[in-house]
Amino acid sequence: MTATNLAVATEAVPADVGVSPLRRAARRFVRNRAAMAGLLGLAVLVGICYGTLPWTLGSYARQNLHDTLHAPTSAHLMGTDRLGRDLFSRWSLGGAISMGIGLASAAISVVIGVGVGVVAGYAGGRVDAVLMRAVDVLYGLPYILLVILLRVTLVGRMTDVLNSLGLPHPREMAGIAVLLIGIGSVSWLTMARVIRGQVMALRDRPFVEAARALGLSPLRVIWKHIVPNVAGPIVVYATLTVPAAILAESFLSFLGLGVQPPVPTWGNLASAGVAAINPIHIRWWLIFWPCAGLTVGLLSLNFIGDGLRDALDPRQG
Amino acid sequence: MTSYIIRRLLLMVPTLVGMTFLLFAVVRFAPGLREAGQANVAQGMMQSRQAQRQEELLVARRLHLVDKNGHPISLPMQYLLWLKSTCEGHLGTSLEYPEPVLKLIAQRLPVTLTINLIAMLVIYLVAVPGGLLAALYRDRLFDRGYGLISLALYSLPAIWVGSSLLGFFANPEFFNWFPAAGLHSTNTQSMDFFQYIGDYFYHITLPIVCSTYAGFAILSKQVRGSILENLGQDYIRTARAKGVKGSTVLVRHVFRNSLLTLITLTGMALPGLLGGSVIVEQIFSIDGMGRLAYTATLARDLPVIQTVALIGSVLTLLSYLAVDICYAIADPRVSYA
Repeated sequence: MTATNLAVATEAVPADVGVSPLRRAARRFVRNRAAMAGLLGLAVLVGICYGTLPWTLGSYARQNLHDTLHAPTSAHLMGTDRLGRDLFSRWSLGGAISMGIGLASAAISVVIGVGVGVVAGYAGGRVDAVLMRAVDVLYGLPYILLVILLRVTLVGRMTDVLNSLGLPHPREMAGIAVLLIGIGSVSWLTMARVIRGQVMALRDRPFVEAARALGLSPLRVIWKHIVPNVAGPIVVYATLTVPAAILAESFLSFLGLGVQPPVPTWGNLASAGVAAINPIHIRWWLIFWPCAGLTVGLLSLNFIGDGLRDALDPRQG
Repeated sequence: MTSYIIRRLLLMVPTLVGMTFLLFAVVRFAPGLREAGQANVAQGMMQSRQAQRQEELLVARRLHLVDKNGHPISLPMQYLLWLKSTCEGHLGTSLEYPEPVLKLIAQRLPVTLTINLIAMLVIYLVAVPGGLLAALYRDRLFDRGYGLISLALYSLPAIWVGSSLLGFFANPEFFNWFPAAGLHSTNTQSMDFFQYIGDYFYHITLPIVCSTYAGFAILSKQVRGSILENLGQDYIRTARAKGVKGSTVLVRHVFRNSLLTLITLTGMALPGLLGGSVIVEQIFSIDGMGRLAYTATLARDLPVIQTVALIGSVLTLLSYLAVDICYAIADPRVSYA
């Protein structure tokens, strides 16, 4: 190789050669300003909502009927509701519950979606056809129907189970648990489709064939060689499922199918705020704070998810 | 081409049977639904016990839960009977309203379809050019700004947007531009056809806005990604190197390939056209498909639930077929064989 050739070659080498793909992705993510703003917004929300838990757990249902429907003051940062409860306590606890529901149902949907997607994609043939038709049917069914059915089926039993375990507030806990199972078990469909496609593309790659030829069991091939390679899309879709689940909770609460008051969530606070709107008294704080919480939370999570997608999947970005 | 379509339609039959089976299982195994008939009849009826029993039996027979003599029918038989009457076009009568299910759907469908079609049109008209421009001006101001705004819109909860639209634009205190609820003014009798249509669209403007604003982000992100992917291909460089005009490269080489992504996305959105958003319909008090499915589920109105879900499943299958046909037309590499 001549000297000039060498010079051209070194010039063309990008600065981050020799850096692991993961680190390169992390660098891309950090450079994404929207994603970093999202991370900051989420950190603030999580800090407020979970940091104040010790206080809000005691005060979220405390009524003061002499001080109802008060606009925000220094004593009540977000005002009070129609029963004189401090809206900040309810908002903060509600945020903690909403984000918790989002995270937990996203976790459920990741487990089911990845499971179904990997099995369908790897097995192929009949198994694939049956699983994907099931996904099609669930896509066709009205989403609300499934959630209501799950509620009807599970709430009673769950309450009994929690009661027998001696946990506090069994009915409220059962309501929340069933809600997140409901949301989680209907939001895995897209994930399953995406993962299936990725796995099908990986299945015939030489390194997977080599693993099979070495006599590894299918489970081990899947766990060691397939799943790590679809980790990118899994992370991205998991991040995007959290805001979708929070939004689903707010819709269901709006329809009266979500978490039941007095336990607050951003969703049922917002729907209570919508119900309190009338042309005579505009009590903006009742709807503004929960919806602002929802918007900031969703925006942050969507920015983070979007940033992750750009970072982990450069082909798309 | 015709034989291809026929073959595909035949292949759909076993899938459809599987779907009906799953649908039946989901609906029938849920507690509360099986006793739906009884509960519905028992509510608020001032009848002698015997008359009530008679009524219950009638509903149970209509749902194929019991036979002529009042003996319970086994579940597999129930399924077959339901399948038979569905194939014959007897979709049943609603338990909640004294109307055939099909008539209920025929009443609700036009509104939902109009709102969804207009919303979809607007979304495509904005998101496709938006995604294209974002790809062409990658990482420049337009790309950044457009991505930011569309994602921000996507993050706004529909409850807030809907009630704010109502609060600001259908409120005498601010702008009393639009009606707050319903689909028609009270004086429709005195209107001619065009006034009537105008009045109708005037009523569904806010619902359309509310079903539109969140839709831009995902579609334009996909369009942008697909165009960027195609822009990096070798054949694009070849076309440019040959001296093909920039706009021609874009239309013939880049956009034509991105069309495939667009077809897939559109196909996946088609079944949703009939669905209707419960939230939007609830906020603006519109009696559409979303509310129908919602109230039917709450009331355990079995025939309505089954029919709505069945239509959804059939439509999903048909849209897959439509996607495959469009693929074959748009992409010469796909053969019908």
